[in-house]
Amino acid sequence: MKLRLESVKITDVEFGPQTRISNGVLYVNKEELTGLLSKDENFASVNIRLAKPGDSIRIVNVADVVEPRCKISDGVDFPGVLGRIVSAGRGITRALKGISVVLCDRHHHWIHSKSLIDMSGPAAEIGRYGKMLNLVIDPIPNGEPGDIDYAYSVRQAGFKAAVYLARAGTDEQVDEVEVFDTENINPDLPSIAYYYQIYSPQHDPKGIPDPIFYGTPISLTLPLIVNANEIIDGAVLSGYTIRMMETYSIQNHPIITELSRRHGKDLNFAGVVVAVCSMEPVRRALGAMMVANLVRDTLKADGVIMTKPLGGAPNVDLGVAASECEKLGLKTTLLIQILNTRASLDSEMLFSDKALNAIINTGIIFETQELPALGTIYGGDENTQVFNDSRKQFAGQPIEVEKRFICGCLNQLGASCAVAVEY
Amino acid sequence: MSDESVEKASENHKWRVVCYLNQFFGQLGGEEKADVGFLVKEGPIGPALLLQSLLKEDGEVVATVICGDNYIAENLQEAVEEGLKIIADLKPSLFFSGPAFNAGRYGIACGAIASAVQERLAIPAITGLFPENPGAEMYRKNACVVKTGINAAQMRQALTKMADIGRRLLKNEPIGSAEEEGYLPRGSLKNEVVDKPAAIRGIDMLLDKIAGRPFRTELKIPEFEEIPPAPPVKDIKTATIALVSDGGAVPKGNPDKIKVSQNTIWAPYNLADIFANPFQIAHSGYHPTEVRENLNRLLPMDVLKEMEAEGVFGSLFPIFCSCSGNTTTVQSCKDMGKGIAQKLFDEGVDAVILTST
Amino acid sequence: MQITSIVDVALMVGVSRLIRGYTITCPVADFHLKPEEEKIMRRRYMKKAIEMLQQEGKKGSYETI
Repeated sequence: MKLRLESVKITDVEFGPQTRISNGVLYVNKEELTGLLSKDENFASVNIRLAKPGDSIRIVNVADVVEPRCKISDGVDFPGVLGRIVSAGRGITRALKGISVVLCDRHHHWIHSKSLIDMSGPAAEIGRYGKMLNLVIDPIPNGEPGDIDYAYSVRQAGFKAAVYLARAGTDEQVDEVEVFDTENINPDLPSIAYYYQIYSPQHDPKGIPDPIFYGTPISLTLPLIVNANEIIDGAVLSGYTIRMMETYSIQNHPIITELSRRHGKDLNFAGVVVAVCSMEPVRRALGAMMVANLVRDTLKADGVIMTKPLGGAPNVDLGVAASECEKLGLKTTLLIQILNTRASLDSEMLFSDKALNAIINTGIIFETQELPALGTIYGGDENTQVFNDSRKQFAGQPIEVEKRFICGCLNQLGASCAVAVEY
Repeated sequence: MSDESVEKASENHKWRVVCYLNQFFGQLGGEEKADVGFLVKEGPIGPALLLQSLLKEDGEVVATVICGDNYIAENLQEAVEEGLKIIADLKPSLFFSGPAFNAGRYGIACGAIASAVQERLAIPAITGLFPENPGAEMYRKNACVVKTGINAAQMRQALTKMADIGRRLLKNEPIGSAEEEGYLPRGSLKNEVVDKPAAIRGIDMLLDKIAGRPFRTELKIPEFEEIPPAPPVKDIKTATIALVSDGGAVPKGNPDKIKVSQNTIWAPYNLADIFANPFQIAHSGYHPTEVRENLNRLLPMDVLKEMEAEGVFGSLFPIFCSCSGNTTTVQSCKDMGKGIAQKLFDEGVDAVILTST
Repeated sequence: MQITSIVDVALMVGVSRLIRGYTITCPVADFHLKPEEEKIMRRRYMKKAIEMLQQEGKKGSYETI
């Protein structure tokens, strides 16, 4: 499977009479885009706003962040979500770099699933989206739609906007081309697979799973092999109840892109096993065994790098799968986030298999950051509640938030440079 | 720091420093003097002289407190109280004990006194211990324990690090991570930013592991304490069984403020009441739809009451103990477990059924 | 004794009387069953629990119902 990713670098964004790109500036026809997105019955109206680095803007109720991308050939934009299901990962995809689409969900929903982005101040320094141009899609709900139905509407709107923007680019404006092709294996190089636990159903509202794989739910799937190109080309989306794994970071998946780039140089990228956290132990054991078999006998890897979403239960799943891999002689490296600040680096793991001795820690998710009040709020207003375990606080005030709620600060796929260090 | 010591500091810019040494380093003698009680000598004695030269103009060692290793070891709590009072009266802005290297009794004494000074007098307290010194593990969370070599051959290196950290603590300058600065981890973690993102560090580490090259894990496997199982219940027909759960079931309003994650609090609630009145789930690690529909799915009171009526067991304790077990630290779990166990034990409960989500 | 579906953590920590729970969100019942059947299942869990309380604790293994 070969994917050609063409990038157009965007250095500024403005509203203008016509959606186009000129000299690196993206002009957006606000009325046209608003019209396109407002057709959804769940929206009373749709606000579309721009947020730039340095602005005194706080974006709240952030549900997801998406990179503007569209298929130029051989595919459907976000298959299964915006269009029919065809394979992602082939042909040509065009991306706009330097700008993202931020999706805000103002409707009542589980407060733990929302994040924030500040365009200035400490959160902007530590969160990647505070340093980027952002087009903020902020719908206003129409009445009291169902939570899940509304969440899908927001996702649709955000992705439509992402495609709409990407289509503004022309062939002549492409600055950079990267080809993702990992078909040929060099037998002299070590082969590395990637175990990608993409979801856990433990927070499914009313037990209804989130359709994040080609627009379909896969909460009950056993491990499966998915081509790396598919994952970065729209087959996998961020789960609604999952933070620190925005769609943007899946499109720019740090492990997949790094393994793809190094394929043929100092390693072979053997492929990806996609898994979902099991909610009960028989399934967990079965899944773990299958992961090990797939990685060793089907992908023929020497080692596997492993990531997971959320917290404790996926951690256990990951550990069991890793243990099974080690038993088959595969070397494993795991990316684990630390939960607590009052802890040490030898007490917070949820598994005790001594073979799991190569762990990367991806930072402490509960460490808090104080943020000043900012001038303008998108995605809500000054009375929008921002989660804090010990007190009620609102977006218009100075607030203290855990880093897991600062969008783009920490990332469970390995995109962030934060590491927990002992003090 | 007291106002007087702050004034003195601004007068001649020298902070008042007090040092603690044992009988040997305090130049009283060897083991034969290990029973000696506290005494105070003016100015720096023994290693404190070197410390004074390292502190230069920033600090003046106004006194050296000396005590025999056995005097302290045999009566740790009282001796520390005695020493603490003596040190408090000397009004230091900075306190050093040891370094004790790998000497066990001395190490415990240094650690205990440094902890007391740090925690009770709020004065920065620094000691130096070899990581395997028993005092190191006991006190590293309560005072700054600089890592030293195994014996006094490394005195200069140890005191240099201690003086440097001490000076910066006094001036409120930031102290770096345990590894960077050379002290034992104090039990907290902070996020730092490194050059390479986790993805690249992970791939590089995996390549090293596959090739058999050395690598350093960023997280270690825990070792858990061995706790022997409680003996079986002797007579189930007269036994009192209590329910405990970490699923976070609390009365509506969460009166005891059990946290939805990183929880440290448990509370006892009346079982019948929680079924009869509105409740909520203080736990953000699972979706509580099923439990909200029927609380028996977490606290199976209905079937236990039936079995009690049938005489299967003695009685169901009317109180259940609730907490939330979501991203709780091992230490918090231990503390809550001990608290719950003690309460139920004191109330005559014979056995516990713990349900966990 | 403990009932949990995450037996791996319980085993690691050294729990000596352990029953594998049904699922994370519902440790002592299968909520897909009809209410009467679900209650019977809960009773089986409790019966097993009470049996285990009368036996010697055993680390490193768990029971199922």
